[in-house]
This record gives sequence, C-alpha cells and structure tokens, in this order.
Amino acid sequence: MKLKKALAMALTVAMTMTGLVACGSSESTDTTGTGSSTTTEKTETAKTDSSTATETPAEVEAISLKVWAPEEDMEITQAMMDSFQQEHPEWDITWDLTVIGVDESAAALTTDPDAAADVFLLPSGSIPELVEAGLLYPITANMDDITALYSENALEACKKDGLLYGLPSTPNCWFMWYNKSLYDESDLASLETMMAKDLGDGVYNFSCTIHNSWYIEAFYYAAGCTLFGPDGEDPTECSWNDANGMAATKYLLDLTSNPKYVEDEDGIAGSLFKEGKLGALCAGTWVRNDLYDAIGDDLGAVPLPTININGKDSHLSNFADYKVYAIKSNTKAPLAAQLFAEWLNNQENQITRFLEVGTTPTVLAVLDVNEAVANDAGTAALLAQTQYATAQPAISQIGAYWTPAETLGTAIVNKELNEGNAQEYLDKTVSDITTNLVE
Amino acid sequence: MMNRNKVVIGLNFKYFSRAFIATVLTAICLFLPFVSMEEKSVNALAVLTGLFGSAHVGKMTIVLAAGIVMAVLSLIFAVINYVKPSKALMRLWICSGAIQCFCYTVLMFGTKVMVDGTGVLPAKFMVRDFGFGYWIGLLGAYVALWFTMKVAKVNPGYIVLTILSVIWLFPILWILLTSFRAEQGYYVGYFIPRGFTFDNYLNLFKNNSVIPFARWWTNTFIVAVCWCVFNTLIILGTAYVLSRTRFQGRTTLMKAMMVIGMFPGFMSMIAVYNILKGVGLAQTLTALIVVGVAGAAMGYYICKGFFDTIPKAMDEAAIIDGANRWQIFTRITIPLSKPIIIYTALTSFLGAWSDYIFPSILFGDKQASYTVAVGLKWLTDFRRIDANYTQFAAGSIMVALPIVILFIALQGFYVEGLSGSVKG
Amino acid sequence: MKAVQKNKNGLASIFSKGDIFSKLSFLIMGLANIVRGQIVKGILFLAIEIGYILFMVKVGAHYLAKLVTLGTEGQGMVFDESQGIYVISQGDNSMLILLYGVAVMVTTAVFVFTWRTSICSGELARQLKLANKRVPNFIADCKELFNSNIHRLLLAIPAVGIIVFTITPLIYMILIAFTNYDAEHQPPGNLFTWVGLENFKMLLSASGKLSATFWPVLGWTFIWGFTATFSCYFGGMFLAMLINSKGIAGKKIWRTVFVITMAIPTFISLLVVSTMLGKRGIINVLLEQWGFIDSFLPFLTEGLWAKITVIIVNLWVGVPVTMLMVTGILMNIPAELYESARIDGAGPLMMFRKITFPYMWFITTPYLITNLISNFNNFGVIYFMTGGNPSNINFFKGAGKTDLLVTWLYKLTKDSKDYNLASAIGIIIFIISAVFSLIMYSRSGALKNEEGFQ
Repeated sequence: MKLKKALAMALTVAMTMTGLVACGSSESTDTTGTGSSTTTEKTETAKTDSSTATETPAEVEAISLKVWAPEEDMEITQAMMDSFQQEHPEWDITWDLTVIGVDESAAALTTDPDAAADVFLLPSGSIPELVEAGLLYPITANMDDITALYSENALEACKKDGLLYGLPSTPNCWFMWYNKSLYDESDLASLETMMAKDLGDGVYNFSCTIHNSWYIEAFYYAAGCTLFGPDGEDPTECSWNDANGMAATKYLLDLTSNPKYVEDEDGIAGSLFKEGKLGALCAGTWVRNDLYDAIGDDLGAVPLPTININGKDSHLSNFADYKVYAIKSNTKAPLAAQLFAEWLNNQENQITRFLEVGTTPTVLAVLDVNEAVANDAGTAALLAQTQYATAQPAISQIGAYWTPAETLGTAIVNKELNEGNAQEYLDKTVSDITTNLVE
Repeated sequence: MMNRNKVVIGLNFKYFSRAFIATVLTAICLFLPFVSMEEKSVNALAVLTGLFGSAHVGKMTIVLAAGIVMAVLSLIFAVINYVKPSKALMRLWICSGAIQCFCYTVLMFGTKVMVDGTGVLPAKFMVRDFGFGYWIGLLGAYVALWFTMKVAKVNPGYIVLTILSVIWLFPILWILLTSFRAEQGYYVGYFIPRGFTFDNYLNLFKNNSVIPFARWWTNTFIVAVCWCVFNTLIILGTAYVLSRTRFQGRTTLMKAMMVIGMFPGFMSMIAVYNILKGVGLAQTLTALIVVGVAGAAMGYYICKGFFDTIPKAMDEAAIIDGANRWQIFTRITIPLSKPIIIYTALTSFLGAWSDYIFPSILFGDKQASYTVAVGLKWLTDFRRIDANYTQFAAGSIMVALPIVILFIALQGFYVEGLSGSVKG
Repeated sequence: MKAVQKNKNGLASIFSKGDIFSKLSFLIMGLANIVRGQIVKGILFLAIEIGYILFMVKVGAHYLAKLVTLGTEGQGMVFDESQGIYVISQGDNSMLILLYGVAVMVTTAVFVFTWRTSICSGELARQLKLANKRVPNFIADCKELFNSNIHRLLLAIPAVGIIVFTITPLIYMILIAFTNYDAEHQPPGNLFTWVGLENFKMLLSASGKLSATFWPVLGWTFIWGFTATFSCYFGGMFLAMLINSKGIAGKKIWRTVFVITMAIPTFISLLVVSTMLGKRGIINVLLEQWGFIDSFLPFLTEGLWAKITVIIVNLWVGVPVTMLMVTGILMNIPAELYESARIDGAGPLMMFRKITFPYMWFITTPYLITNLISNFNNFGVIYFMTGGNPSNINFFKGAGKTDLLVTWLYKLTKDSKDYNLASAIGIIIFIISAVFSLIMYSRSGALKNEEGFQ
C-alpha cells in the first residue's frame, strides 16, 4: 500500500501546483529564463539605475519587457533598448530580446500569449484577426503625437474598430529590382516589353512568386478583380472567378509557361539574379543589401510594370500594408510597452534603421527631410509602388484568403490548372476565400 | 556441348554458354548504333574516332575508349576460356567484364558531357538518343558479368550490392561535400564543390554567430545523456516488474498502456505544454527531460520480451537462497541483460537527437534552448535556407558523425534488440 | 465489469462486516490503520485526505463547476483616464478551465483510488489483528517494497509520469473533440463551449468540405501504410538475404554501409533528401546535365510524383532497419532445413518460398502489424519531405495531397488552430489503430502464450 500512498501524494502535490498556478499562471513568464543577451543588459541597467537613484529618490518600478525583433534588427534594437532605459529612469527594466521574424510573430503570439514578447513587429494585415482573438493591446498613450507623425493611410492600416493597435514602422510592399546591365529603365514600363527583350542564352527575364498568396493578388487586382468587395470590407465578396479573373488566370498561365520566366522557389531568383542570369525580380527592401553586395551599382529598383489584360494596360497592384510595432494584450507593463513601441519608431530610430538595415521610414518628417532616404532607389520604388498598390483588406476574413490563394497559385505553376478547368478552380478558390471555414 | 566434358576445379560450366553468348553479343553491339539521332546512327567506334578526330578528348572519352577495349578484351578472354578454361583466365574475364559494366554505366551519365559541343553529333545529346546498340551492350555486359561470376563460383550478389550501396550513400556523400563547400547558397548546379573550406564548421562554433550551434549541440547532449540514464532505468524497472512478478492488475496495466500508446502522441502536446507552463517549466531543457522520462515506461515492451526469455528457474533458485526480489533484479537479471540494456540506452540516446515535434512546440521562440533537431529545421526554413545551407550541412555532419560511430560500434546489440522486438 | 462488481461487493462487505472504526474509516481515512497500530500509515492516509479536501475547497471545486460551461465571462477593456491607456481585464479562459478541470478530475480519480486502498488496508489490519497475527509496522511495509511489493516501488515513478504527462493531457484532448475550440473561438479573446458530436458529424458526413478532405486523406493514409510497410519489409528481407548469402565476403562492411543511413537521425537525412529533390535541387540539376530530362521533374510538387517519391524515400530510410532485424531472425532458422531441402534438389527460389518466407512470416506478423500502425502515423517522412504538399484545391484549409491523417492533424493544431477537428481526427486514428491491434492479438496469440514462452 505504501506505493499507492506515495503515488497519490506526489500526484496531489503536482495537481495542487497545477491548480494553484491556474490563478497565477501569468507570473510564470517572468521565471522562464532570460536569453543570454539579457545578462549583460541587466548589469547595465543596474548601473544606470544606481546613478539615477541618487538623483531621484522617487520610487523606481521594476518591470520586465520582452521584445521580438527580426535577425537583421537585433543589434540596433538592443541599442534602442539601452537608450529607452536611460530616458525612463522611473522604470528598472529587465529586458529580453529574441529573434522572431516579422511574419512569424503572429503565429508565435497565438501559440503562447504568456511567453510572447510585449513589443514586437507584425504585418498590419494580421491585426484584425489578432484583435478578434483578444491578443493585441490598443495604443492610446501620446495619441496626439502619433497622429502628427504618420500619414493617415498608415494609421488607418493599424486600426480596428476605431482603435489603434500598432505603430507603422515601414511600408510592407514589394516592387521590382532589376539589373541595369540587362535592362534599361525604359524597358520596364510593361511586362510585355520586358518579356519580349532577348537578354541572351540562359538568362531569365523576370521572376515572381506566383505560388505565394502575397504576390499572386497583384495580377488579379490589375485585371480589375476585387477581394472582399471594392473597399475590402465585405467578407462574402470576391470576384476572382468572373471574366476578369479568367483573363488574369490565362495571363498567369502564359507567363509561367514562358521559358524566360522563372518562378521563385527557395531563393532561386535571388541566386540567379546575383549571378547575372536574371533581369528583374519581385521583392521588397529587405533583399537590397544582399543583391547590392553581388552586383553593386548595377542594381536598380522600379515600381511594378503594367500588364496588358483584355487590351488594357494596367499596373500590377499588390497588397500594401505596413510592418507595425504592436503590443500583446496581456502585457504586465502596458504603459511602458506603449512608450517603448513609440520609442522604437521615433524619428531618430527610424533613420538609424534605414541606415543600418535599409528599412524605409514611415514618419512623414523623415521622408521629407532626410537626404539619404530621399535618394534611395529602393525607397523611391517602394513609395512609387504604394500609389499603384491596393490596401490589404482589413477584416479578419483575410485569414481565409492565404491558403486558397496559395493553392491556386501552386496549381497554376504546376500546370495542374489549364484553360479547361480554370473556371472550376477559380470558383472553388472564391468559395474557400469567402465562406467561413467550418460551415 | 563440349563444355560438359570439361571439369576444372572451382568452375561451374553450367552457365558458361550463357556468359559466352552475352559477351559475344556485347562485342557485336560495338558495331550497332550507339547513338541514333535525327535518323542518323553512329556506332561506338565511330563516336570514339570522331572524338579523337575533333581533338575534344576529356575524361569521358577515356571511359568510352576503356569500355570498347574491355568489350574486345572480354571477347578474347571468352574465346580463350572456351578453348582452354582455367581459374586465372576466368578471373581476367570477370575483371574485364566488370570494368566494362562500370564504363557503360558511367557513359549513361557522361555521354552528354562528352559529345556536346564536339560536332560529332548533329544536335545536343539526350539520353533518349542512345541507340539500341548501347542498350543491348549495357544489358549484355551485365548479363555476361553475372554469368561469368556464376561460372567462377563468385556470388553475383556483389553487383547488386555495389549498385545499392551507391544509391544509399549518394545523399550522404552530397551532404558531406556540401558541408565543405566554399560557395554559399542552396542552389548549385554541380555535385562536387568548386572550392573546399572548413569555414562552415568554424562558423557554427563562432561565438558571435547568429546560429548558436554549440549551444544546441550541448543542449541535445545533456538531454541525450539524461534520457539515456533515466529512461533506461525506468524501462528496465517496468519491464522487470511486468515480466518477472505477478500482481493484481498486471495485465490490465499492460493493456491500458497499449491502448494509451495508440493515441497519436502529439495530439496532446499542447496540453502537456500548458501543464509545464503551469509548473513553470515551459521552454526549458528540464521540461524536455522530464517529459521524456515520464513517458519512458511506455516503451517497456522490447525489454520485457528479453526478460521473458531468462529462465524463471534462476529466480526461484535465488529465492530459495534467501534473496529478495530487489536483489534478484539487481544481481541476476541485470547482469544477464547486457544486450538489451545497451539497446535501450542506445535508442534513448539516439531519440534525443532526432526528436523534433515536441521540442519544437516546447521551445517556441527560445532559440537558446533549441535542440539540434529544432535548430537545424529552423535553419532550413525557406527564409533562411539559402543563406545557411552549407552551415546546415556542416551541422548535420556534426550531429551525425558521433552517432554513426556509436551506432556502428554497438551495431551487434542493436540487431539483438531489434530482432527481440519481433518476438512480440 | 466483473472486477468492478467484485470491488463494490468488497467495499460493501467491509462496511457491513467491519467494526465501528472500519465504518468510520470510510469517512476518516486511515482511522482503521491507526487503531490497529499502523500509526504512520494511518496518518499518511489522513494527510492525503486533508490535502485533497483543502485542494478541492481552494481551487478544485471552482474549476469543476466551471467545466460545465467552460467559462462565461469574456475579455473586457476599460479606459483608464489617469494613465491614458486601456486596461484589459482577462476574462475566463476556456482552454485553461478545461485543462485544469481535467486535472482536478484526474486528482479526484487518484484520490478515490487511494481511499479504496486505505479502506482495504484498514480491513487487512483488522483481520490480521482478529487472527492474532502481527500487524506489520511501517518499517516492515517499507521492506516489503523491495520484495513482494517491488512492483509498487518500480512502477511509482512511471505511473506518476504517465498520469501527469500522458493521461491528463489525453483526456483533455479527447474532450476538446466535443467542443467548438476552432480558429473562430480562440482564447483568451473568445470562449468556446461544448457542442457534442458536431465535429464527428462534419468529418464523417457525406457532403461538405471537411468530409471531402477526410475520406481521401484516410484513403491515402491506408495506401501509404500498406505500401510503406510491405515495400520496406520485402526490400529489407531481400537485402538481408543478399548480404547473408554464401560467398559474400565482408558481410559486416556491407551491413555498415546501409546502416549509416539508419544511424543518421532521420530528420537530417529526410531534410537533406527533400532539399535534393526540390525543383531545382541537385537531382534535377544532375539529371538535366546528364541529358536524362529537358524540364525539371516535379518530385515533390505534383500529387502522384510526390506520393511515389515519399514511398521510395521511405524505402531508403526503412530498408536498413528491416535488414538488420531480418538478419537476426535469418540466423535463427535451423540450417538443417536448408540442408535437407538442398538434398531434395530445391533451388534457391524454392527454398525461399518453402522455408525462409513462411518462417519469417510466422515470426514477424506481430511486428508487421505494429509497423503498419506506426506507418499510418508516420509523421516524420511526410512532414520533413513534403509537409503534406502539394495542396489540393478540393481539400479543407491547406490539407495536401500527401497529407496523412496525422500530418493533417498537426496542421490543424499548428497552422489553423482547429483543435476540435484535430482531436476528433486523433480519436479516429486511435480507433483505426485499435482495430488493427485487436486483429493482431487475436491472430498472433503472443499475449496468450506469454506464460508458455518461458
């Protein structure tokens, strides 16, 4: 019988612990270790803390903030954390900085909101979904400053039900990079002229990522199709299966079977481009440094070309949204988190980020004043493209868009789709995009 | 046939005529179309002379020449053996046949490199352009080799084994070469790297590297050692109790464990994660160790099968001598179970290196806690694969090498454990 | 069923036959033990009871009560003028309520088990006393742990581990199948609740996107399971016999060549192979350079190709395992059998058909069936090779043409967060596995013959 007793005891203890933590499980985030980078940070904050303590005997609140940043932003974010601490002696901040890509953060946040970062970068497109899941914190501190800093469009992209859930850090939109030794800028106005030019044996003209649902919409928008209605707010509307959608699909079929076109998979376009075997590729500012290292001043950037559908030239119109700094809903230090997000995104730090990693700023003043920013080809192309782009629908139904669109793109690239079954595929795609997932 | 009358010790003439015919056929094929392209057929000899004529003599040309020479040599040896068979001559025949097979096989892959751009053929070569002379020659060469080996009483299984080994080792060779490749990047259009370097390995262990590989390796090693020790103890204990003692509810317990084991494990992993979060262990290595140890008993099965084979009489004798169950377990059963202990320890140890799903859920964003499986998979994510592929290869080798050595050294025990598992 | 009946009778008879202390010990655990002199044991029982009651009062009852609705109070938000920010109040979290509710239930089950044990233990002490035998004290009880009660000693840790980290989560996940915990009902922002058999209906019904995904995926799971199992089985047998055949020198070296693929952690070899088979992976590039193809082969990107590719790659991974296993068994086949067959003039093919194969088949049937089940659930090969892709336009939310039920289940939890569907699928997988195991046990008789084996 002894054993059963021991067993029961151990269990009771374990269960009691589990049960107890039910009330205070949120505390456990603090105990779950800090990254190696934070140990040095701790000593530094301790130093500043002691110096300020002598000046201001007012109480210093100990808080902890966890930050997610993409790999390339790690160093500068660290520096911004230091300067924020100096600016705010009223807090003694324990920092934790971890690598999470912009596109990974939404998934990571949903997986475990308790272990998630307080402040992180996010594509503005995922705001509606996350707000509905109750995972984001509305930003209200210093609202007047915020409204003055950014364009109305940028702020609109971060709003849901009238509340602001993120601070726009950079436009998130792709455009076209090209190799000046292969193309003249005059060739790049329309995709037809681009594809017609002979760049030589073994050299591809153009690359895009049709099987990625963040790229494929450019062709459908260009053909005049709508996603979630003309204003992007009707979850039951999608016109990709009408005659225009058919025309766009046929265009894509022709494009992908053109031997001069290469579908970008696992970085193939970048490799070819760097070897000088590709004329133009579609990507954002994030590839600039990598491409520049390979081909130097031959690197040029322009907005997306026009395509000719049904005898009409129209610009490829991709989604425009923003990479935004957001805050999780269950943060322990909401005020500090908000102020820190604003700090990360202030004028000075946006310039730093532009200079160090090439991120295009959003603060209006920076765009007008800073010379380096104004002269950057990538930024110019990005800003030019935003005028052709379509705002990404800001409803949570957008969550239902990605997978069906990707499936459609894959079918086009793999030639599973042909003119015969295209209508059927489009109908299915549209019904997947517009219906609620579990009927 | 006259072969019947010949008796040479160590030779089996039953297959001689088949070998002879195949060899002759292969030799004839030299004059049949090697390549048929655009209604123009060229035989092997013409290709060779054409190549020599055009002064494009590469490595592949030598292979072609060797193939032709060997076909002729085989014919000569076949004739000599026909007239006056002997073991030594048979050997020579086999050798020439084997080299011929090798050359013909290599030609299948190398002909394009050899002839393109030499002007010997009217257009770019494709494998489908091979004429029937080549295909019959290839087939004939293998058939001849097979039967000559039969004649010489050498097991022709070597042919199959060699081909299979090449297939099996090809990916391993690729990753090994990639790990030493100087050119970065995922896509390269060639098998052998243009430059060799150790940097991929050195980068993994640099302190300032984005990839904390040394940390991952150490993490995994710690987990592996803990699992190796604790899981083995728990499995041994459970298996011993279930095999050697009889108590109320024993069969129920075994059935229950079997039923539980049939649920797909990772279905409940999210719940396990939340329980761990509740006790403050989420995202830690300790959690991985604890969960592994907690579930270890479910794998008692193979070990129990082994204990079942140890005669019960030994236990009974010990009981008469006054030993208690614990003493029987530690002093009799365990010393007799070396193979199964090593098998269990080895599988637990290996498990830590390849366990992926649970650690990936457990560690989330905490790269410092990653084990190699999670870390290396993280590296092959489409965002990172192009920049990190060679490092990934080097990391894979760093993981695989110690395990391969360990595995090969303990192979015998593994076989014993594995075949024990079959007995049900 | 019988056992339960017996226990009930047991408890009832203890209650009716026992003295006042026995009766009281139904309420106050360990009393009967204390009275008979087993003080430490009795106090331990009592302590457990007190601990349990405290636990229930403090937290347990709260969660049990909430289990009925899985929470009623949603997340709220109030504007705090003084700080200029919103203050978010965390409402009920259905997921945590369910998990902790299950934990309380399991604790209660364990407590009931202990309660029964304590009564039996008290009864035993009483009877010993009645018979004027010595009632063992605590130390004697502990000593027995190393002898007749060794199973309690050795099974303690495994039992706790399995209850906490296997059974509790399992019950939780099974219950999820009866809720609407899907992408639309994500805590902490939303509550989810019980929906009965709704999820199963959606999966198994004849119409609807979900069942249009479920049945084809199930079909491919079966095809995959059988093909993968038997191709590896026969491939491994062939290889083992080849290496073991007479006249092959360096058997150990040959074996090692194949075993290397087995020693490398499978996720590495699978990741490597899948990168090699990519559209522009090295295999396609080489085939093009060698003149075999003029356009790249869609090894992993086209439905049928991908299916065949994963089966072949699985051969590459699985054949060495079977090879090693078969090697062990081959050595056990009595050599006389072959000798007499040879005298009778049987060829190698005949000997395989009449001796090797029947022997092998007889011994390995249970292995084959367990292997079949584990192949139905072969997550690794599919996940690392194709990730279930290419996706299928007719399927629900990104399920692909090579997805098995398990990998689909994984996608549902990891990508689309439809936990309810995932656990419904998990239960179905369990039922399939259970059916196959039942067949195995009724056929092999291995379990029945356990005693005879020794």
